[in-house]
Amino acid sequence: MQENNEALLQSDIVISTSRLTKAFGKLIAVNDLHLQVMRGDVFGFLGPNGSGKTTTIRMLLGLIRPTAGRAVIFGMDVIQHMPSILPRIGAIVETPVFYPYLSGMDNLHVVGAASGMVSGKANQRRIDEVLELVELHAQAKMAYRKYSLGMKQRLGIAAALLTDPELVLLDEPTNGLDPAGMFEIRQLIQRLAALGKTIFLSSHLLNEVQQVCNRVAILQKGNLIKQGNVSELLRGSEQVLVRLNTSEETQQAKLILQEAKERGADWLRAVHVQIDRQGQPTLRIDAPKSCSTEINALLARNNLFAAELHPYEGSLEEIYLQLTTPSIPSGTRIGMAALAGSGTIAQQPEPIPTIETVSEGKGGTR
Amino acid sequence: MSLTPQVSTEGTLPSPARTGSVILGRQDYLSVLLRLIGMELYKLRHRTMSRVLGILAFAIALIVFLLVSLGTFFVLNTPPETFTSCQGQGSQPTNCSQLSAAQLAQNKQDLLQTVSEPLRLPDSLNIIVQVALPLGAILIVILVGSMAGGEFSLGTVRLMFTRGPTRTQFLLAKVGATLVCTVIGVLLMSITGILAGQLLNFASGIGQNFNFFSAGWSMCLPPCSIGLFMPLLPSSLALWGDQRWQV
Repeated sequence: MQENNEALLQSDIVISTSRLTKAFGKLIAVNDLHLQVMRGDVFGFLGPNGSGKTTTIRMLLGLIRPTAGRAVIFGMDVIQHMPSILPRIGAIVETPVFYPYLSGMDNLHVVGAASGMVSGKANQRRIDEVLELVELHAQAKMAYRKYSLGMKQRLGIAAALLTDPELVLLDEPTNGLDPAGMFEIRQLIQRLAALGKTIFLSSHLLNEVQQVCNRVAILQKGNLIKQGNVSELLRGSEQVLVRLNTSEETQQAKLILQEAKERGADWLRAVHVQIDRQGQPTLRIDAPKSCSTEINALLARNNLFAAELHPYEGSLEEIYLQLTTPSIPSGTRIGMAALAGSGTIAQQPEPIPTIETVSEGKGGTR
Repeated sequence: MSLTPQVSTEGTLPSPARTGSVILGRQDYLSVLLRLIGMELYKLRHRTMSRVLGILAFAIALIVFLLVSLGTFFVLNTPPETFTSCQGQGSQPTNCSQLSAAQLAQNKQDLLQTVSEPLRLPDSLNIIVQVALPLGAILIVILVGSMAGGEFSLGTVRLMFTRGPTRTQFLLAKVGATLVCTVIGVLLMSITGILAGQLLNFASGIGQNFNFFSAGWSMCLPPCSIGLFMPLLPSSLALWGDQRWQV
């Protein structure tokens, strides 16, 4: 039974890399990368500039050869079976570039012919469909050189979807798009995911990724530093912000919560005190936001009554910044986010260390 | 949340059916190559540079024959008295002033025949091969250079390399498209040259003689027929691609 499940799991793996490495001379762009993308995933591929995202995509598409390791797509080795793999993939790598002297529609005819579609008017219906999908139908006969950046980006997406591929690799697809364009792309990705397509999305726009992706991987300096489900990552960063009336009460509450943690409240990961804009201390409790009631009840049993209590849901942006830019204190980000939400908690005057460094003990996640 | 997932074992994932509006062509090596040649020709047809180079080829052929015809027009507009033909015979020169008007006219006609010869077949073909086509070759070099180099400078090579065909197929497609362009260019310049020569030859009043046409010339017919077919190649390739094959 377990073997069957494993076999089923294996058959659902669309992209799999093992110790994938690419070095340009002394510079190691991608180092020992282990990735796994399952069928139907909307997989967010995150990382700062120069972290190796595009290099990884170029290796997956066979544009460059890995220095070491291997990549397997649809169960086939990328180096050995690239001609069989590519017709099943639609991709945008960096900024999409087309022939400037051809119209958007003519460019799609050329891409179609290169992708194995029959030439001539036979595929006109499909070309019309994808142009409609990216809302470029009105500008289909305009020369590509006259397109705006957003239109070029949308044509790139149309080209990627032209052959109705199973796997769509999108490298920064929202570059140059206005908020409405980004919203459309987000909806488009969600529609494609609903159709069962596997999407591999490299992006800097963490809010977009958080909204559309079910799994993410975060790269830094070529190394994979995090991979997992978005919901799990977010659950691990939930916090509850509590403000009491006095500093004494705040310190007392902190001690009570720490005692509770020692007594076995494993949902409580850590407790910190920070100062808000009015100079009042505030408790920042690393715990699932669903435990707000429990925290309130615990304090009330000890005659401590919260003046304010904010369940705070972490964001992918926060997790990303925490992982890739540890110099930015996490308390600052939470303070700003909470301020945006309630207007009561202000930016921390002094930097607060990151959650990991402040955590007392190794309280497990819930 | 593991950082080291297991790599899948070999075992190709089956490809789900594509939407009905995607019509794929044959995927064997030759069909892909022919489709890519058609694609290259499609791009060339839509390029302004191809049109400009085509017009230049046409103009070169025309100008060469206009220059060649200058001699004919010069002879035509020269009075017969000038053609005294005072060629010495040994050390004894003939008396030029003793030539009759008929002899002078004959001299003029003889010279006109000689000078206008390159305007008529088969000499006009010789002019095309020796003068016009070397200039046309420069145009082909420019076209091929921009066709291959443009892909790299624009960055479209990345777009093409992610679509399935191999790099060899893309290279062969460019070679194929170059051959087609060369044949079309040679045909264009040859036909333009021959027609221009014939038109300019009307001025000389000397008719075209087809006595030169022998059995040896019939050997040229098959390549000429293929050449005439070449302009129809892009649409022929499209027809080949229309043999639909869902994969």
